[in-house]
Amino acid sequence: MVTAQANPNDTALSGRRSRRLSARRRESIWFYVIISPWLIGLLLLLAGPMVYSLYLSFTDWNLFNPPEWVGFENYIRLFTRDRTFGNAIGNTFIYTFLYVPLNIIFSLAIAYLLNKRLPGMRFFRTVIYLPYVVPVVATTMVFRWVFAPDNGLLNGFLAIFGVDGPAWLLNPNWVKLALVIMSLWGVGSSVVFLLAGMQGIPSELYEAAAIDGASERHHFFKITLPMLSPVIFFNMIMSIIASLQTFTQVYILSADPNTPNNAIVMIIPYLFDNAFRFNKMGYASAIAWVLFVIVFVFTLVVIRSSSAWVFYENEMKR
Amino acid sequence: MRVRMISLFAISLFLLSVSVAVAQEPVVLRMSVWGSLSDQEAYQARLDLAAEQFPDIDVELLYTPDDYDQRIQTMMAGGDAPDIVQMAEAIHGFSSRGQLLALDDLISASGLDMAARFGTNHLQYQYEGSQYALPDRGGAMIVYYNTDMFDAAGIDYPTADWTWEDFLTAAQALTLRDGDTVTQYGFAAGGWWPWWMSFIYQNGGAVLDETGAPAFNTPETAEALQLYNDLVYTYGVAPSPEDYANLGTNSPDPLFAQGKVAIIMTGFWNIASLRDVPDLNWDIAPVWGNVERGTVSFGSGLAISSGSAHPEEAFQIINFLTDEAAQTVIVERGQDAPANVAVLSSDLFLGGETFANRDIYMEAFAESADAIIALPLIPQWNEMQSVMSATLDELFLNAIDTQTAVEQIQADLEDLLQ
Repeated sequence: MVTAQANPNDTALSGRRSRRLSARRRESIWFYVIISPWLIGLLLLLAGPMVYSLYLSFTDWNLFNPPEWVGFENYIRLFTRDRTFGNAIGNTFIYTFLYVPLNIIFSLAIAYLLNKRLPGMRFFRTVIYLPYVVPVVATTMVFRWVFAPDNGLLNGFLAIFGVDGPAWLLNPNWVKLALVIMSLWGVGSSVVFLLAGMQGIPSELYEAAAIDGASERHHFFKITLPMLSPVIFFNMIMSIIASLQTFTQVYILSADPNTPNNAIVMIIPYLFDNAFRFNKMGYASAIAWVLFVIVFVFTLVVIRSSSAWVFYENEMKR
Repeated sequence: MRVRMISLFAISLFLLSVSVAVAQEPVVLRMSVWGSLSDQEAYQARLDLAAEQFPDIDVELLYTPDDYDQRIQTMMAGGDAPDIVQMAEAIHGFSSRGQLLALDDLISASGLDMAARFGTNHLQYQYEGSQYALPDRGGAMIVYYNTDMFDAAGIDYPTADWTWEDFLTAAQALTLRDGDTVTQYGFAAGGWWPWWMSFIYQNGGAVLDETGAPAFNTPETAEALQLYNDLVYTYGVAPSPEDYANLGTNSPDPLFAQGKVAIIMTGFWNIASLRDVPDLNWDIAPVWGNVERGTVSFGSGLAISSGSAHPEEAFQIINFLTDEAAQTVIVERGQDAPANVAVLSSDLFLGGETFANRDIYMEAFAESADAIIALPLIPQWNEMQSVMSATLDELFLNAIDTQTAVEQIQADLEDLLQ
């Protein structure tokens, strides 16, 4: 009797299930239709050229004659004999290790201040974001004057405290810090993400902490910082990748014949020189792949480390 | 029958008119040049002359002020090369890759006598025995000096016989100080290759030897670079990179125009910049020497890209542009020294009044002719410049010593050219 009753039910159920499956299939078809521009773009415009550049990195190619297979010669040259590439890697790493932590500290501090409820805050938020909208080319031109040795703004400011500032853009030891300072002027983009994150933190957390007698410092380090860690994580990965790929500032500053090129050259500007000034496309492709591996490793390390310090709210709920 | 005849006649008439129309359709060429806006105007004026001569050839001017070589490179790689391209020191990077047309057959077919028209100027545009460009603009790097400053210091004006000793004595006497601050520099140069390279050749040094092998690490080159740096850091007669940054420029030319420098070295084009500066009294002279005389020729030539669909027409145009009538326009506009020998020795050029607003020593260009360095115009010119300047930047900032610099450059050049 049970089975007799169950039978029609089963067929009804399976009929409903097959209709549901077809709905799901329809949905997945729509998914692929809608995503196809990006998929095709990835395959044609990114994956294709990437594979081709991997091939080119094992050749000697001047853009005009057919590529000539040279095996690992480009890579061997990069790591054993090319002094400029050594400088480029060193400079890029120094810049990245200075810029990324400073960017996080400054953007956090500024976002914290901008999150205060004070009159005119909208104005300040705009002001902080504005430099990011200014093209890097213009920023670089302006900072030439800021960094001028004797009568520049920065050294004029330092002179108030009796500090004799260096010739920022000419001194091989200071020029990378000058680049970092220049980039920190555009900290506004990181600030915007952090500010949005801060405003998304539920106020109950602060209220509960306040009842328990937590200080402002506790608020920041025990609530704000952990709640913001996913945003900081995002900012960190983005700024690591961006600083490993620094180009414009270096390109513009190197056009000045007095700039110490060995102290300022970075990976992408050197790649550009090889590809478009020296016509060594194969060699430039090898540099691109070395940079790819570097970016990949850095990102992987940060992602792996994230479980130790990035806090997701839904993790706790689970 | 008659109708048929008429229609046949009509058809043949139609075909004839079509073929005439095709023949009259002008050939369109593109020609790319760099420079300032006034350079662009000068090229256009010369092309207008060419258009009168060749009504069937229509030349469109492509003006590329920045990143010229890269831009041309990209256009050529994309199969969109201009027919006629202006080329300078980087030319053999292009000719060695077969991107430029060897002009030998076109030259002999046209009956052009290269030596009669250009002297020896065209030799720099030869690669492996073939001619790749017709010289268009020329003119040596010369000395510009402030006559008021020389008069005030009571020094004779520079001549072709000047040695380093004369130059240094003059530069020291022309440098004025107010306490520790220099108020007037005797000389100003910097990291641009024509300046330091001419000092090296004046001392009997070279970048590459006759076989094309790097010859940078020699006592002659080291001595020349030492003096060049001593002008800044020992004698204090020329501004350092830091001084330049404080003066708000990276070039001597504006400092000379502002009356802050007594002697600079640069090309013909500076005449046009200086002629309208009020209260600035100046003249020109050939560059000095030491063991021998040495200066750089700032030239550019006109080449035809190998992808051009109309090489014959393109050659007609560059042949015309380097002939007397079109070269005279360069002089009339005060744009540059012409490459055409006949125009170079014309009264118009030697008079100078038409384009300099004053009587200047135009013979300086002719007197420089035998002092012009045979530049090492190898295909790797750009990369060679990059390698040398990376080390020289540090030398000119006084961050390394001369011997280290020449050894490092020698090693880098050997690695580059092996």
